[in-house]
Amino acid sequence: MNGGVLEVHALSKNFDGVRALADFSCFLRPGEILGLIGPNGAGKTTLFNVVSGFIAANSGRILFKGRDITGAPPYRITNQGISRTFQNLRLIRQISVLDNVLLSFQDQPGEKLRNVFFNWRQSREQESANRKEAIGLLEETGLAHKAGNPAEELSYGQQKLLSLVCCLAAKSEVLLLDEPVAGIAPEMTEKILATIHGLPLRGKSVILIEHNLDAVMQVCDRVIFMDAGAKVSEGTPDEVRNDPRVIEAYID
Amino acid sequence: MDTDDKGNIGSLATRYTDLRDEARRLRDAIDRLDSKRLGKWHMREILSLDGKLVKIARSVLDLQIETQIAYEKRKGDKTKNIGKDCEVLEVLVGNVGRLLESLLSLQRTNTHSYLLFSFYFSIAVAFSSLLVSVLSLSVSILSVVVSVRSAGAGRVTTDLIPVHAPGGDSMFLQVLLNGLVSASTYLLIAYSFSIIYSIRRVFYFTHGMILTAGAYSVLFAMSAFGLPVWSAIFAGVTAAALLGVVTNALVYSPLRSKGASSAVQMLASLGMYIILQNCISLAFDDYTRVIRPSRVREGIDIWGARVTIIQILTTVLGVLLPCSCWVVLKLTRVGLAMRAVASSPELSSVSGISCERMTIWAFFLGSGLAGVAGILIAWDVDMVPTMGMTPLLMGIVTLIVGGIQSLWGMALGALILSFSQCFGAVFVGSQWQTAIAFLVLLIFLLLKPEGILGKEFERATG
Amino acid sequence: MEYLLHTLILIGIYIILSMSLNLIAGYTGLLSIAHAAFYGVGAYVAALMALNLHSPFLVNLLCAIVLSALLGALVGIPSLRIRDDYFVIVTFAFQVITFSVLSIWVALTRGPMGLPGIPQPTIFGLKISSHVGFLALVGILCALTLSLTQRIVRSPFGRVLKAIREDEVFAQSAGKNIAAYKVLVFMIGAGMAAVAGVVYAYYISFIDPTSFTVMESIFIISIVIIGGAGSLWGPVVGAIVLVTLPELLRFVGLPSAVAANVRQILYGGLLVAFMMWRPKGFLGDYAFQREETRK
Repeated sequence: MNGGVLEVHALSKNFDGVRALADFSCFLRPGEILGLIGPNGAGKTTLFNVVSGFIAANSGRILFKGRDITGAPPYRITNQGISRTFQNLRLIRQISVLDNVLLSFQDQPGEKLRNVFFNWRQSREQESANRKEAIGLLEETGLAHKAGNPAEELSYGQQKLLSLVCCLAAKSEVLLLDEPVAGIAPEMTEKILATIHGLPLRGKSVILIEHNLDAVMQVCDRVIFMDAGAKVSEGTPDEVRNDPRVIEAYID
Repeated sequence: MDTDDKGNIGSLATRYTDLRDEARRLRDAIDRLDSKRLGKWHMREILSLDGKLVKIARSVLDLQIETQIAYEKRKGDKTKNIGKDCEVLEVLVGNVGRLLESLLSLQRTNTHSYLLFSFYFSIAVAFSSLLVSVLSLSVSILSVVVSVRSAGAGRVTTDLIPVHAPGGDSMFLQVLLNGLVSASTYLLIAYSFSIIYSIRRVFYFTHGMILTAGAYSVLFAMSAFGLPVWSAIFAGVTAAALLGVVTNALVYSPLRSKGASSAVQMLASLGMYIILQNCISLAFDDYTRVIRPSRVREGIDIWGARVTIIQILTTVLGVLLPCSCWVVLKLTRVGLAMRAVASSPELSSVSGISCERMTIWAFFLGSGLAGVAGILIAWDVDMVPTMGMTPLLMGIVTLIVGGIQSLWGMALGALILSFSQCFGAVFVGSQWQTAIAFLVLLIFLLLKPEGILGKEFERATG
Repeated sequence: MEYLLHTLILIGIYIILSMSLNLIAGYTGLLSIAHAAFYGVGAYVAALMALNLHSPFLVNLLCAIVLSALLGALVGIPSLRIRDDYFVIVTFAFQVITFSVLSIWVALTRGPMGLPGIPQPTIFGLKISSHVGFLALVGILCALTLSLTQRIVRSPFGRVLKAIREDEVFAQSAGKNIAAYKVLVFMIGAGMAAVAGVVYAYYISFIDPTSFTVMESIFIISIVIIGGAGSLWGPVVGAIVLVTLPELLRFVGLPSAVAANVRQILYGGLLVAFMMWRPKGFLGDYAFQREETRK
């Protein structure tokens, strides 16, 4: 299509006769923040699930930097460079904030069993390098003071920020953020949105699902409106907001 | 689309009001009946009212499911301006639930229900006695006929005939008959286990010991109290049922109220299993015990294959009991409530049907059936304290292979399992039966985790 | 004195067994009732090799570890597709099948008659024949197991195991190939259990299938849970408690037939009691509770 970093071609997915995705296509340009909006059940999270490999599509293709990643398992998709957050906020609550971030680093030698036994030094070195970087990320986002606390002790907003930090730790080029500011107090919302806004400068591209239309207008370069698994409208935030089809779908 | 939805809510509300009025009329009729002095001559009226009650309750249950679905749909749709519809539905769901609960709890404690209970009970007793007499009569006729026919060859013996001995003229028929006997045992055990599992979704391994306890209670009743066989059996089944209820009350219920996961409950059930097995070892020691009345040792020859009366009885009961329980659960109030809870635990909490009370019923019924299975097995192959584990595991395998929701599926699973074992035993020897069973399990779990006719499994990712 | 040494050796064997199961069940959250199968395979491989091939101790140990690890991989593979509760039944299945093979394949294992006369081990020229010798051997192996486990648990590999226990989906989205980790942890656990089996076989010098039943598996998982699943020293505490407590019964003067049953009732009772009041065990970290429910 347009040489996008992520391309979705004609994705379809049925669940027990319900069409979650109906021949959906879109693309993401490098350094772009793309907003994905639409009513519940429109297929937004299903799209994320398919792109990140948790669900297999019935038909269609997904290309990442020109390479076909359709049907790859979730861990491999993350290895390639696509990270995601979850609508119902997944974290490892029982371990520390820092450990959550450390977990998210890719290519850790210490995760290979043979290095645990035969190359302990390399694992340890990489681990302390990762540690420095992790604390740096936490300081940037204002979570460093809680680094040693179990993740469950963070507030809901802080936990959502933490899951964003985990995506950063994974050094992914593409981030799929599922409702990153839903249900959060305005102060934290601003902080998270500011972080998201700064992502293109770090060479990252983002697709963002949100119901909070103000947030979407504020941060996104481009917006897609989905309904019943299909793309209804696409363009700049203003264009989409004023699209009569979108107005109809929301007010109806 | 909006007007359609509004119409939908309207029709749901109308149905609710209609059912509520019907229930009110029914309640009045029952009250009128209660004000008279009740005797057995009012039985017909009581039965018809009860039948009406069950019918109304069924309609209310359907209505509740629909209302709940409509409510869920509305709730999830944040962008549509339908807050008011949501409120209306929420109230409706609550009302329907309360109606269901009041229907099911109608007349819990008074003469009416006592009479009803004794009516059903006497029918059950009459039916079972009729069944047993018909069975014994036909079996004695058969054995006379057969012995007359083969008097010359002297085929009928009084020796103990082991369960899976190959022999007789037709190997194939023998294996077939053995397979049928095993299958019916598995079906009985699997069904008894499924009653409890479908309400709580936890594998309570103690069930294997309850089976054993049934058999040992019969032994105890006969040796300690000198009871005749038939009353000892009644004592045994009751003891098993009560043991199940007590275990639930002492261990599982407290665990559930603490929010224990199914893994924790499974481990606790394993602990209980160990305790109970060793208690029985202590009380009755580890030697093989027999509770079979000596009269029924004879084997019958059928077209060259051997089968004992016990095995015939096992087959018949193994099929009859699950089927009749299934029918009972479909038609009675308690059964209806149990099925409501089993199909959707979330639903039942809204409707107010006490999940705990239904669990107690489930343990009572399931454990009683397990006791019957234990007695039948003990009759066939005698008993040791460790006798329960393998039948339990076979029952679990049947349940998984056949699917949890459907009796047909369980029957099919039981047949598949027992025939794999019997035909497999012909080739590799009968000691491999347990291993064969588990191989069947592994194959099914890897290929079709939801069983043959069971419902779809939810996947780990979402 | 002999008796004390014997108890200590048994404690050592069970420490190795419960530490290995702790890696699988406590740290990775894969509840398994198949551990006695790995234990038994280790014991039988070493015994058969010692009796038939007269090979040295270390060679037998290595082969036992390798074969047991292979069986571990077989058990681990179904965990990838089968949900928790059903997976427990699957481990049951493996346990029962292994036991069947051990007791029925008489040509290989002499079935219920067992394998007597296992020779005493010779390691680097040292013959181990006394209780003290075996205690030293067990002690060294325990220490090795402990340090190995500690290394694993404190490494990034161990961190992934804990992540799998708490939220598999998150672990996958963090780029971890959880299938590989699950199979690997089963292989490690099985290999370690085999070590305990080898020591047992040489120490008692006679093995038969009845030492490796479902009951034994349940005993081992009880040790893990009562000691504290997911903690490093939990298995040690658990082994000490569950092995010594019933031994104390001997001093109460019960006839031996009764004592065996009472001992089992005791540990069954402990299991139930801990599940009801302290599911995390003594030093516990993990109570087999999943925060997320089924989707």
